[in-house]
Amino acid sequence: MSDNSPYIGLNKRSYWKTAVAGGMSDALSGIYRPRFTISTTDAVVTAGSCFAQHIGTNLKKRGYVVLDAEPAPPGLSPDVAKAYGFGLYSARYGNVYTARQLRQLLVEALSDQPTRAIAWLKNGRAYDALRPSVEPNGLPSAEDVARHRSAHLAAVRSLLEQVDVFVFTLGLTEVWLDRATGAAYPTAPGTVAGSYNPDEVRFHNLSYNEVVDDLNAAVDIIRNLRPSARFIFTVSPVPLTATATDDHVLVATTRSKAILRAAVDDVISKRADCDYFPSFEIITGAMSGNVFFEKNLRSVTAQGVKAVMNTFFSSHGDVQHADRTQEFSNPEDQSDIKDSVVCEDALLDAFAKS
Amino acid sequence: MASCLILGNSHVAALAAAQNAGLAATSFDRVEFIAAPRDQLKHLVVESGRLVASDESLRMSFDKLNFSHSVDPRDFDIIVVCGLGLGLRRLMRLYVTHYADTMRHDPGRRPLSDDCFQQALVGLMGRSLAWNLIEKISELGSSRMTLVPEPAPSSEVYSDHTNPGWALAKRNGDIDVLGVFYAKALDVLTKGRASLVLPKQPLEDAITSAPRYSSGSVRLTNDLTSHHDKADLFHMNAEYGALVMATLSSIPQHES
Repeated sequence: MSDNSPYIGLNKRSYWKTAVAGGMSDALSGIYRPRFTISTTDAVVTAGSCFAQHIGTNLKKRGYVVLDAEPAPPGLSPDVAKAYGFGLYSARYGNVYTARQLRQLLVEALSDQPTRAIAWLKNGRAYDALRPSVEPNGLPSAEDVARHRSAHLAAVRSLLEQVDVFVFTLGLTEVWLDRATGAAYPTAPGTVAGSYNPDEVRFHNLSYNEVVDDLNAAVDIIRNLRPSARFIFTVSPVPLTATATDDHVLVATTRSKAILRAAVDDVISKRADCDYFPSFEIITGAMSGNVFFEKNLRSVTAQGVKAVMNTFFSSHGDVQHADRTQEFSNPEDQSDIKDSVVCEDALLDAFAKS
Repeated sequence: MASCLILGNSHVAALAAAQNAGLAATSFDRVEFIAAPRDQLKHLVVESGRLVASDESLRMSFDKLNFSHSVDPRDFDIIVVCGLGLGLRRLMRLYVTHYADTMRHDPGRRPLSDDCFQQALVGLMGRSLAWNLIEKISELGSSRMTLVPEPAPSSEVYSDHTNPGWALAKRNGDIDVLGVFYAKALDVLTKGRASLVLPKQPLEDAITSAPRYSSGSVRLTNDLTSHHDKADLFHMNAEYGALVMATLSSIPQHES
């Protein structure tokens, strides 16, 4: 063996044997080196797929300023508020699974054009097709959907004017597009509301280039409005509940996550104001041995969420969790973090034949 | 013939005034009042099956009014919880910041679906001390629980700038729809758990009373019934109290 290999003398974190094979504590040490820190005075906005709900919740618990442009009205219990889409993210946009949805939301929020909402119907009630889960019983009419959406977009606009750190969790590449408008839906019509009509919607699996374009466009839109804004991207470790491709769902999941992960890498490699936080790696890495997944091998356990969040906070200099060794000693400890995220994607389970 | 315990805050005074003045035509053979400011009544706790004043300030208030420091609700056929934050002010707290689909759409307020508005209102009313006490007492025994919400304020409230919700409701034409939301919230809360006594006769519309019922309104003092500030649009007088007492009195004959 040569004594002048470029692999000699690297940091412990550079070798699988010392960084991963040694177990969880080794793996998490140095797995995330933030490009910038988040202070407790920074205005944080969160958005993304279901897993992103944990990020916002934990940031709030730790005293960070997570903006909420559409707070729940007084009187709603936390569970009911969540069912109406309050408090899940910085506004009631529901889950934003794809970079395409994020871009579309930002464009719409900053548009001078009157809001043209797409309403899905169910039992005579109208649902906002771009966030169908935020009104569990729908609204009386399509006009009401448009009016609610217009107020929602104004709230999103106010967020963008204040944001210091935008945290976005990418979840999927598979998306359903409206044929007439190109609008990207968070779920296929017929899942929460509406009905599937192939003449009106089409399935699309976003390519690497498309995700890169959408992410860059989203960053540009926000930075035009808020030049000092910084971005943290994560990739959800939660696999697809179902794929609309002809592939095996595991293959489809791998494709989706690989594209998202690579696209984020492209964006952050060219933008100093953007960073990547490896929640995907923490949960799915070989060192975890699947202990971070529930029995359905899909939902992330409370322990997994804790590992992700503690890594995030300790990397940002939050000393309260500098010593993490205790936190992985008791796999039964589900403590205060319950997997109670709101997720349209999980509804697709109902379509699976047992 | 039945016994009745009436428990609440300053709104009890109108009922007591009616009773003391002999205005209340009731069939009760025994009526007892326990009243104190809302902040003090938070310290009325359940101990060994009795309601007990657990705080010195509450005990002092009870002393002033010659109340016992504890009471067994099971000694009464009817327990009435009166006022204690359960009323239209909670509805207005929500209305000044939010509107429901069936209300006028103001750009300055946030839209909610009717369902969401209704759930928020039920939640707000359910968090009142009145409802908290009803739940506590219900766990103690079989005494019939009755809720007397805070009265609808005098219709003069529409021109009272310190309570902008009512003026907004009038300007927006939302009086009737607010009344529907309020009635439904009361129904949701009380259904199967308490009787509701809210006399309709004094109402001028769905959310206000005729001014004559608040004229000469009374408040809690040593005799429970001294006159209130004339400008108080939210407390009622003995005439109103008599209507409530008469309705309360009719409950045992209608329900077994």
